[in-house]
Order: sequence, then C-alpha cells, then structure tokens
Amino acid sequence: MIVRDLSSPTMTEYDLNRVEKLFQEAADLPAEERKKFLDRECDGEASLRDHVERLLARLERDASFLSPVSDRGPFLAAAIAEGPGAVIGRYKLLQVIGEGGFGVVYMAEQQEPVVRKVALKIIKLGMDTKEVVARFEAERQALALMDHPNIAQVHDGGATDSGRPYFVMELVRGVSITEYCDKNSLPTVERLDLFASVCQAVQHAHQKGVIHRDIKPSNVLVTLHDGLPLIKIIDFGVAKAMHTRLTEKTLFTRYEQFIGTPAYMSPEQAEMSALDVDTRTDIYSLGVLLYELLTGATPFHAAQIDGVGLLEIQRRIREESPLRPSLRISTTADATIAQTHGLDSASLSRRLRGDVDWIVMKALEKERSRRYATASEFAEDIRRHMKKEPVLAGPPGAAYRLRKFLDRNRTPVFSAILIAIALIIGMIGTWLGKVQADHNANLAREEAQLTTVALDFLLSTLALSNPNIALNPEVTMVTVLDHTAEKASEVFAGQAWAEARIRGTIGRAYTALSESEKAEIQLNLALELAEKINQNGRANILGRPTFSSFELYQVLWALTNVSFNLDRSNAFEISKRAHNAGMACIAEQHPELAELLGNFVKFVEGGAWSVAPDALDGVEEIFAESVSRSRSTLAHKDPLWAIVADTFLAGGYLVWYTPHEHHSEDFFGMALQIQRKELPPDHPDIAASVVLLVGILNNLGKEKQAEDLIRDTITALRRVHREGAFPIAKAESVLGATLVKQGRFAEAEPILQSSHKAILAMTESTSSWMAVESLMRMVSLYGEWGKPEEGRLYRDSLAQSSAYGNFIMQWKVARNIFSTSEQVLINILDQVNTLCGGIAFPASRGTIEAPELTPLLEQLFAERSRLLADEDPRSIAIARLLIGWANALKPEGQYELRARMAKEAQKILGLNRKAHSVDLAEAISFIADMKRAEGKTSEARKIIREAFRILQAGDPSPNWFMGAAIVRIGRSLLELQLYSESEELLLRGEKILEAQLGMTHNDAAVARELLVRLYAEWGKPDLAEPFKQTTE
Amino acid sequence: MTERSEKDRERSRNVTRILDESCSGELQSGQDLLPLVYEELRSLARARLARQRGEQTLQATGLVHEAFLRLVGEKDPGWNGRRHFFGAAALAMRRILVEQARRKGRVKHGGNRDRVDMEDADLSILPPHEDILALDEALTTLEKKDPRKGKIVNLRYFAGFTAEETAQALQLSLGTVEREWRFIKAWLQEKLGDGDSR
Repeated sequence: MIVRDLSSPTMTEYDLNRVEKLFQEAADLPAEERKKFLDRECDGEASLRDHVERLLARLERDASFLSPVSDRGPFLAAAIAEGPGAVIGRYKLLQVIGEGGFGVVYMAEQQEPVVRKVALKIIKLGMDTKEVVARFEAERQALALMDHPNIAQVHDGGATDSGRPYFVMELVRGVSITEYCDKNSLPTVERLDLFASVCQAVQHAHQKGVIHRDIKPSNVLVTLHDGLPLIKIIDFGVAKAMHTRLTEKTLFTRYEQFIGTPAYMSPEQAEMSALDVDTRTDIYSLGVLLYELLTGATPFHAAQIDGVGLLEIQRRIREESPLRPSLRISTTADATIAQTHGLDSASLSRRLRGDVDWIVMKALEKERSRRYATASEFAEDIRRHMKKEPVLAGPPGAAYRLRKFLDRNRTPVFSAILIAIALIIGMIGTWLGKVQADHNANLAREEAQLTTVALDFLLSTLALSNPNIALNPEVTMVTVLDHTAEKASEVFAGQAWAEARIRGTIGRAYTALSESEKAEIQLNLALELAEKINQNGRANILGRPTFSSFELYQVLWALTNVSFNLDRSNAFEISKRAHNAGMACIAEQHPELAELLGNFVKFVEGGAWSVAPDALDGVEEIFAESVSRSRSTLAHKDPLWAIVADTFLAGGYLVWYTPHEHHSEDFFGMALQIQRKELPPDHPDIAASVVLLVGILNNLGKEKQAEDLIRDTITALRRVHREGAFPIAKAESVLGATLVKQGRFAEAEPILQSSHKAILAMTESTSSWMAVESLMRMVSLYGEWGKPEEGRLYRDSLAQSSAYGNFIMQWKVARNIFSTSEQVLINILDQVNTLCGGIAFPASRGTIEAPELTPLLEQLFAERSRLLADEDPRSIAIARLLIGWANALKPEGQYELRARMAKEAQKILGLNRKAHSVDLAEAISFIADMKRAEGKTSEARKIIREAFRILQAGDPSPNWFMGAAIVRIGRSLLELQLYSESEELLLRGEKILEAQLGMTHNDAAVARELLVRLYAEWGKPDLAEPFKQTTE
Repeated sequence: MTERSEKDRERSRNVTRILDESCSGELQSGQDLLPLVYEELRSLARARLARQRGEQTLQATGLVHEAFLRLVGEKDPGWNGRRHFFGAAALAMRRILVEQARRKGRVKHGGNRDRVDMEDADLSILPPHEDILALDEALTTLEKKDPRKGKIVNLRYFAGFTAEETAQALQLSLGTVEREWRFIKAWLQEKLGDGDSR
C-alpha cells in the first residue's frame, strides 16, 4: 500500500474556504480568462495560486473519478476501462456529456458502417442486464420503425464487457424544453406551439407501438436547426427496457420509486400493482410537462412531495387534484414565472384560465379513460385553442361539474349511477367524435350544445335526489332514472337521436337494477325511435347518425332479458331479433364467426326441448369451435365480445330447466370468463352471470364450487355496494341456497333471512320474481332442515303469490311448496307439466296437443284432494298451474280437456271469488269455450256472463298479466257475440296493457285488433277508428 | 434468504423505531442507527454471496438500498427518515469498505490467512475506488475542514446518490451540490496525487 503524501504544505497552509472560492470563481470563467483572474486575486501568493491552478487542471481531467459507486459497475478490471477512450462494440467513447441517476452518457464515435458521433448511454447496475438487453431486443423492431424528425433515433443497444446495459442513440446537442423556453422567455403561445409538436412526435411513436414511459423535460430537448428550435425526444424504448414489471418489485424499481422524482409519473405508474401501462401514461406525463412549461412547476411539486412518505406520494398522485394552471399562477408569490412568459402574474393567469386550464387538466385526469385518447387529439385541442375554436376538453361547465360531483361521491354506492351516466356521456362523446372526424363543424357545435343540455339535465336530476343518495342509494338510483325517463321527451324535443339513446340507456340501467317493467317501456320506446331514425337517417344528407347495429343489439338484448323476466308472450320472438341483430353486427366484420355462433344457437335451440337424451350430442364440438374462433378473430377489448358472451348466455338459458341443463354450466361459465376479461371489473353483467352460473352449479350438485364462486363475487360486490344493497342481496340469496344444498342450514338461515328482507324491501310485492325466488329459498331451507313450522308462513305466502304471468316461476313455485311426503303429487305434476309443453315456453302457448293427459289429470285431482284441503294455499298454486296448462293447450279438439282442468281450478278458486277474480273468470271462460264448441251457445253465454260478473265484482291489480287475461275473457265474450260485455273487457284490458307495456307491445296490439273486429261485427265501424289507426 | 431470523426482525424493529423518533429532527450523525445498519449490511452481503458464489461481486449501492428495503420495508419513514437512514448507511458502507481493504491488504502482504474468518474473506463488496484507504484518509482530512463536504461524498459516493438526491437529502440546492462536488473531486484528486499529476 502506498502512503500518499498527506502533509504537503500547500494543502494545509491555506484556508479551504478561500481556496474553494477562488477555484469556483475561476472555474466559472472561460479558460483563457482564468489566468488573468488568478493573477489579480493571488497577487503575491504564488503557492496559493499554484494550488488553485492545479485544482483547476483536475477539473476536466478524469470524469470517472469518484463517480458514484454504481456507475462504475462491478469490481472487475473491465469496468474501469469504460471511461473515455474505451471501445464498446463498434463505438469508441470520447467524453462524458452527462450523468444522472440512470448512469453516464458519453459522446462516442461509431466507426462502421458509417463514421458518426453518437450518444452512448451506459446504465448503472442494479438490475438484471440480460433482462434489460432482452427487453431492448424485443422492442428493437418497433424502435426501428420510428422515423420522425422530432424523435432521436435509437441505433443500438447491448451489454458492455463488464455486463452493464448500454444504448446508442442519435447525438442531440440541446437543452431541455423547459430550460429553452425559460431562457428565451418564450411567450405562452410559442410554448404551446412547441409543445404541440412534442405531442405529434409522441403520436408517431404510439402509432408504431412504442410507449415512452419516461417523458420529462430532460428527455425532451430543444436544438437549434437553421436558427429555429427543433424538438428532439430522446430515450424512446430505454425506459421500457430498463423497467422491470412493477409487480416484481425489484430493487431497481423500488429504488426508483422511493428516490426518484415521481413528479412525472402517471397514477397508474405510481400504483405499484399496476400491470399495464399504455399510451395514456405518456399522455399524462405530457400533461405534466405542459403544466411545467406553463407554470414553472410540476403539478405536485417537489416541496409537496418531499418530506412525506412513499405511500403518501402515491396517494397524492392517485387522488389529489392539482391546482389548475391559472390558479397556480395566481396563487404563487413568484413573479419570475410570469416574467419568463413576458407577462405579469395576473395576465398570465388570465391567459391560462379557461381553455388552457381544461386542456391541461384533461391530460392529467386520474382515470386514464378520461384523458385525451391520443397524443394527436391532445395536440389538436391545443391547435383548436390557438385558432380560438371550441376545445374538446370543454365546454367545461356541466361536464366538469358532473365529473367533480362524481369524484366527490366516488363511494361504492354510486356504481349504478356511474354506469348510467357513463353510458349517456359515453354515447354522446362517441358520437361527437364521429362527427368531428367528419369535419362537420356545424353539426359538432349543435351537438356539443346538446351534450351540455344533457349533462345539465342529469346534474339537476342528481341534485334533486342528492340528499337521499347516501340514505337509500338504490331507491335513489331508480328515482333518478324515473325522473330522467319522465323528462326525456321534453328535454330532447326534436332530438330523436338523443332521446332514443337516453331511453336505451335508462332501459338498460333499469334492467341492471331488475326493474323489468320500467325497463321494458323505455326499451320499447328506444326501439321505436331507433327504427324511425334509421329510416330517416338514410335519406339524411347531413349524415346525421343512425343507430348502429351494435346499439340496436344492446337495446334488443336488454329487452330480451326483461321479456323473459316478465314471461312476455313475445319474449322468444324478441330474443330471436336480438340474436339476429347481434349476428348481423358481428357479420359486418367477421361473417364466418357470425355464422358459427348462429349455428351454435340454432343447434342448442333445436335440441333443448327434446326429451331424447342424445338430442344435444355434438354441442360440445360446436361450442368449442365457437369459442376458439371467437378468440382467434376478436382482439382483447373488442366490443363484439359482449355479443359473443350474450350468445353463450342465450345458449345457457335455452337449456336451462330442460333435460340438457348440465350444458349450461359450460355456456354460462364461458360467458362469465369473457365478461371478466372484457368488461370493467364492477360491471353488473358479471355478477349477474355469476348468479346464473351458481344457480346451475347448485342444480348440478356442485355446491362447493358454487359457494367459492359466489363468495368471491359477494366480496367483490361489497367493495362497490353498501351492505344490504340489491345486488348483494341477490348474490347472498344464491349463497344461502348453496348452503342449504350442503345441509349447512344454521349457516344459511341468517344469510337467507337478511337477503330476503332486503329483497322484499326493494321489490314492491311478493309477486315479483326476485321475491318469489327468495321465498322459494326460505321454503326449501326450512323444508329440508325439517322445521316445517318455521317455513309454513313462507310456504303459504309463496303458494299464494301471483306469479301468474310467469309460468316458469309458477312451475318452480309449485315444485317448491311440497315436502317429500307429498312426492306422489310432485311426480304427477312433473308428468303433466311435461305433456303440456315442459314449462309452457311462451312460444308454445295454445299449440300443445296432449291426448294422453286425461288419466294423469284424474290421478292428479284424486291425490290433490287426498293430501290438501281446497282452501290450502298450495291448492291455489295447483289451480293456477291448471289454468296455465290449459292456456298452453291447443283449443281445437281439446275443449273438453281444458274445461276439465278449469272445473278443478274453479272448485278451489271459487272459495274466494274476490281475491281470485281474474283467475276464476278465466277458468270459467274455458268452460264457456267448450259449450260454445259443442254448439250449446245459450248455455255458454250463461256461463261466460257469470265470469263477467265475477270480474266486475273483483278488484284485480292492474298488472299486465291481469290485463292479458281480461282480454282473453273479452275474446270469449266476443266469440259468443256478447258485444257490450266484450267491449267493456277489451277496453279495460287494452288500457291496462297499453299503460303497462306501451302502445307498441304485442299484447296491446292484439287487444286493439280484437276491438276493431268487435266494432266491425257489432256494426259500429266508427268506434273502431282510433284502434285501427294505431294498429297500422 | 426467505427465512429471516429473529435477530433480523429485531434489527428491523429497532431501525423503524429510531427512524420514527428521528423523523422531525435534523440529519444526525447516525450514532444510534449506525451499528444496526452496519450489521445489516454485513449480514446481507454474506447472505448474497453465499447464494451467488463466484458469479458476481456485490455492489455497494445495491447493498445499501437492499438494506433499506429489508430494515424499513413497507413503512416508509418519509424523507427525513430516509435521509437519516442513508446518512448512516453511507457511513456504515464506508467503514465496511475500509475494513475490507485493510483485511485484504493484510492478506496480500502476507498476513496470516488462517486468522481471517472465511465468511469475512468472501465478503468482497466491490471497492468503489482502488485505494479506499487513501481515499478514506484524505476524506477524513477534508471532513475536518468542512463536514458538509464529507457528507456530500458519503452520500454521492458510498450510497450512490445522484446529485439531485444528495441535494434533497442535505437540503441544499442542486447547484450548490454540483459546484461543491467539482471542487471536492479536484481537491481529493490533488490530495491523492494520482499518477499523472506529476
């Protein structure tokens, strides 16, 4: 070891401060002036002067001396060689031109194939070199594609002999954009212009598939080219190669996270768990850069970030809104910032207020979907501002306030409102984009106003219900929708397009909330308007928008769900329309896929109702092919995935409650898998599919699997909804059923009790299908637990619940209310049901022929009266089933059979004529129909008049299925030429149907056709006119 | 590596406590923290070398930051805590490197190899400078004249801080750190009188 000369007199004689002062002052001077300076300052102190001179001589000599440990690589001989003069690959290092946290940048000379100067950046160690180089290699192709005057080319990359990664780039001699702007006191408009060209360059890179990930002033340089500033963005591709995935939590990333300046980091980058960083991360960083160019500071400037913990920094980036640029300027005490713009603070603040504020804030949105979608959109908006055109980011009034309102209220309970509003804003926004793409400025302005109107309207609605929101969010959501629905035609007068879309949206929101009847009305209105728009739209030279096939599909699919929930007679027809619309939509782009999916549904539909065990053989193959074709055809996030998922759900529905229902596990499962991948995690469709899948898993005896699935979903729902919210109650109800299946009754009881209570509170009566389903679960809990007394109340309430119109539900109810000791009855009911067309699928109504039914019926009646008293509520359920089955039978040739069933029902329902007036009257009408068919007209008339009287004495709730039954009785009266009675019932029924289902609904149309026929036969054609017109 | 001994956990708890206490204070000499960080760095280096024997020498900066993660981990102590920690860690690293150089010198110059603990012999953290002992001596002289300069060197050099980080840690402006740094480098080079100074 060599001992250095530590006692050299020159080192200790002079005061260190003085030496340093001289050194620093001299160092700041150009080399040629130093001599003169030292002559003057060190007059007569030759050794002091000599000392300072020697120090100055060191200044430029060895850049690697004491360079931070990590910059020097591992302690290998080669590491030391990587200083000036060293050769790395084809490059000879010339001199250090920069160093920072990442490593050192050298100016280097490339020898071949061309001789040129390049920048060579050697990265400090701390990460896996192999991995960095591999990532760089993977990115290389994309980097090579970039060819833009404002992007510094990345030529090469690799590992040095000492194992450190390096990158070779175009040599840029410039200063950072912020420094350039401030040093030259660039006015705001020139800053914006310069920045817009940064955006365009970033856009170019994005188009080539390259994300920068580390946009900050030191990576955006300005050089002078023929005296004009030229932007050069450096380091493209470097950040990606250097950053390991954040989840790996490597030393390096962690180090960057807690030491590095997070000022330019997007919220999704700050969140360490974030996996995918996309082009919108660069948009955010561009926003920070613009913010800094305008205000001289980053949105969360160093003082705010220093002195707080890492978690706090992350939280701020994720949650806190930075001050608007104008406000930042007007609240800062530092007047020099405005001076760099050539203005005073007040003028600069005014200059930024409005457009510029909104543009910057849009780029800095926490939710990346709210930022500019592309860098060129960002640039365009800046150009628009400079041309004094309205900017995309505004007009901010309503949209901004709404956004803030939602930000403030981003509590779980708002999910439903968020969905509805996002849909409305989204659809207007999408369309605005479309219009702007067409350069149709007039139309754009007109519709921009419409957006404002729409948002203002929504806001006032929200404000209206605001006080209640926290108290009862579900009801309030419905209230909001009710109000919107009510006011929609008024607010959107003359804007059929907007009204159609709003109604479609409201309808879909109602659907998600299980408000089926309200949903149906809105969806039908939307459909009606959409058809009109599409007809007019074709002739519209302005290119006003039409309903796309996708939008049409969305409305039809929602309507399908609603129609099945309500057991509408045309549900099947609507589902076919929806399916066709969906396939048409897919076929526009992928005809083969549409054909395959179409075949899948056709195949399932063809076999589902057959009792033959092999009826669906081969469905697995078609299903598997549909799945794999979808995967190979559709990209991630393709909106068409929604249709594919719905198609598989439809397949599941088709086989549900058929002999082939085990297939629905695969179909529902796949639909769920797709939705989980393609939809936002809190989307209500996902929970809905889980509930379906769990239902089927329960039926298939896979309770354990069902339990895991539903518990996960409940956990997820709890993050979004408050305790006891409807979606949670629905899911907990299914969980309860799963536990009952496993015999864990004590565990199930409190869950079912509370979910039942929540469901009853949400639905209006015990007859809604959700309530009925929940009642069934209560009944099966106590039934299987062997506590019939506890369950009796639920059982009776279930038996009497008038799930009349919904035969599927009615059948489930009937299966549920009998205990195992009444198994005989269940067996007979099963057989009768099968003969009457399974579960009386709506499409099969009035078409079933069942000659072998008679002996079974006799058996049924005998067992029923043996086991149950006529006044037992369960007898009422059987009576209702009988009426449903009779409705399913084809009348011709089976009048007597129908009458036989009706008489049995009459015996039971006649005990309480008032409560069961409609059911009873319909039963009696079947008897009258038989007499008429036998030619005993006067007897038939006497009987049907009795039915009429019963109806008049009763007080039926005006729901749609009552309306439909009343119309059916009116038809029987018409057949018997009892015109005035028929008129009364048809009018009454039509009114109910129209109010409940809307003018366009099939059932209402049937009633009007009957009225027209009535008046024609009656000789009062004038009266038929109003009904005729609407029939057309 | 995955199994952490109770001793490790104890160390981590103590560090967290000290950092919490120091949170409001100035960057201290690190007397309380120093032994803990010193121990952690050594045990970390040993564990790492045991795992990747022969593959790679250890990097001082990497060790310092890994020690931070292990001792402080998720409970980020804020900038003050971090400054405190890294101040102590830089000092600890300097001490370890000096000891290592002394030991190696002994071995090189015929010192008794048997007396050197095998584990410690393997503990070869890459010395950031060829002659760490001379540097340490020169640095000690400089520190006596201007303690701040010593801190700058410790952070910049032994903890691998960038100029910006050093500025933040010492609550100086970046310009000051950069200017002092160029002087320090010149001064130390001169002091060490490397070969080409003549």
